[in-house]
Amino acid sequence: MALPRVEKIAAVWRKELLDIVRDRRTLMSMIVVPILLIPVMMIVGGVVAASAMKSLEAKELVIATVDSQASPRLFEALQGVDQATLVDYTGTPLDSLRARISDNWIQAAVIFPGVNLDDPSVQPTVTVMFREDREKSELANRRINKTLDAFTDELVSERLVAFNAPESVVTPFMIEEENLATDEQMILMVLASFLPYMLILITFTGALYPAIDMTAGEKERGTLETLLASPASRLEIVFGKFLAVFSTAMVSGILSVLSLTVAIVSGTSWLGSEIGQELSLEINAGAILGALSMMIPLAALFASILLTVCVFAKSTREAQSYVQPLVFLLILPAMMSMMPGSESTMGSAWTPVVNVSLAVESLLTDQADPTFIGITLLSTTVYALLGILLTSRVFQKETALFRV
Amino acid sequence: MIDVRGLSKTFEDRKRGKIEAVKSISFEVHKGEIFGLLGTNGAGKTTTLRMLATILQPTAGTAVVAGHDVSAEPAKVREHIGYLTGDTNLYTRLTPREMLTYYANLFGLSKADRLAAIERVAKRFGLDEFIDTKIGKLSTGQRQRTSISRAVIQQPELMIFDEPTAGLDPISARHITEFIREGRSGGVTLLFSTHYLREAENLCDRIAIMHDGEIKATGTLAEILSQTGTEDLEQAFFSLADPQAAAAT
Repeated sequence: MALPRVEKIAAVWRKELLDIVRDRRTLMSMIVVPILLIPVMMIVGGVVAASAMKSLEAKELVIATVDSQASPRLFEALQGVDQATLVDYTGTPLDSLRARISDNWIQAAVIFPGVNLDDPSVQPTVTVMFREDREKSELANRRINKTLDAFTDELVSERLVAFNAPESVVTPFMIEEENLATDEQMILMVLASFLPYMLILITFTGALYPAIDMTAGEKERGTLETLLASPASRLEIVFGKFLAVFSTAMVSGILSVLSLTVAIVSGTSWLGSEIGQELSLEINAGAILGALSMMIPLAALFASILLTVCVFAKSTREAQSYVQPLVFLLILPAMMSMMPGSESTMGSAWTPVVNVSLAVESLLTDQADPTFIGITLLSTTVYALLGILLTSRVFQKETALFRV
Repeated sequence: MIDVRGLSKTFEDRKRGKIEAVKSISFEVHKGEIFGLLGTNGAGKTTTLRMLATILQPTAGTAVVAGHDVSAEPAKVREHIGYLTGDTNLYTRLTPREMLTYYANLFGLSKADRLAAIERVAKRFGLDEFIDTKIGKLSTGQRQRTSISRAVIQQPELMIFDEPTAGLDPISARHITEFIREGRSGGVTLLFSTHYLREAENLCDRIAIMHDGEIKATGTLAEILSQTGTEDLEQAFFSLADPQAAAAT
């Protein structure tokens, strides 16, 4: 078999790129989604979440008290609960009280113990009823707990004075946390766990429509037959198409990294943190480049898989139904960087997509293990080469190209 | 120019099992000749032309096209042929100039040759007024002219046209038939398939009547009429393709 000729491959590649950039669907998935949609989603999502949090904090709560007469000091303390109105429900059966919490008439109930809490000889129980699955009720519980903790500290201090005992009796030592991570590093950690997922997914979707268009689309339009009758060999056609899909995947990947970085940094700044502006100067350009270099073999793998799958489809609609499950299959391994406790082991270094997700995360957080990165690059390159081999074999099959 | 010997093509279909689309056919097309494959839909014409254009691999038999075996040297064969189907399927997001540039590049023309070739076909087929308009915005006739231009961009010595006028309006179909007639005077060899009896009668030097994957008769119109003992091509065609119906009439 003759070796593929570079000029023929380049001719196919150039034509496919020209065709792609004139396709609105491809432009949407390749440029508009990574550049505009995701940052806008993130910023709008952040604003919505922040405003929802703010509105939750401002919510007025109703807290029922039962038998509060016996502990006037505790009642007095509870009156200090933020944004809460205390309503006396003494005498109401407990089941009825529970029903009212479930019905959201009241958000929580505090059942007093019926004894004076100033008496150190007893250790009574204060019961707090709430529903953890209800946002407002859970908020009421948190506010009540905060108030009760402060009241407990107050009682303990009084008793220590009464018994003439030092504070160290109940608090043998103090704890002082010193978080070495700077605000910048904390944000970078969030970015590093989120970015690989988005990067992998956007690189894949960037390759998706061009792959469909160049295979099933070409069949559907009926242009494949004349292309196959041209002097370009099947291998040259495959390589040209592969390079075009790979190019769009890489463009999408690069744009997503840039826009996500800018979005997170500017979004952080916009949402009130002052570190956003500084962070933009501190993000390691080398780490970003390293992350993108990991994407090269992965984009090649995606391009080959998508071309292989889509060439079997008779129409673009059919091709879309073929690639849909692939998107779902991709989500879990791509999310590995966001999973708590996921580690860069040798096993994961050989697992496609998982390895890149973890490697990109480690690069961004400056914790990269050169062996892991090396194996990730090697294994993904091997998979990509196998993928290209498979694609070229499938393109030789008449049953795939001329399925009836 | 074309020498076909015992050419066969069998497809495997999961539902229908083995389908013998072409059954050991043999014919020759001489240099400078217009040769028509006449047959109904499903006769095996498209499969035959696809094998000769090296798009499909023969299951058995041999075919030598422009001096090259279709199985052993498919790339060499493709360098010598201009292939056209009647669907006028083109890249709608490209302009005719971009499309022609693409195919000129696939044929390995140098930049100077490419520009000259585009100018030649643009002038020959009147593309100038729309050569930089996207194909998606062109009329059927303009697309057809673009399609023929693409097929002849490298000035092929052999043209293979698969039902080039099927589904076209009379004016667009006329462009094709005129082009075929002109090709005859230019010494180009042309093999085309059709199911229009009149088209075969008017254009072809020789005809092969195909039915059910087999060639039932080959020769000039006079030879076919003589072989079948009929008076016109329609009678000859039905006597070969549907003898019972022909006998009944």
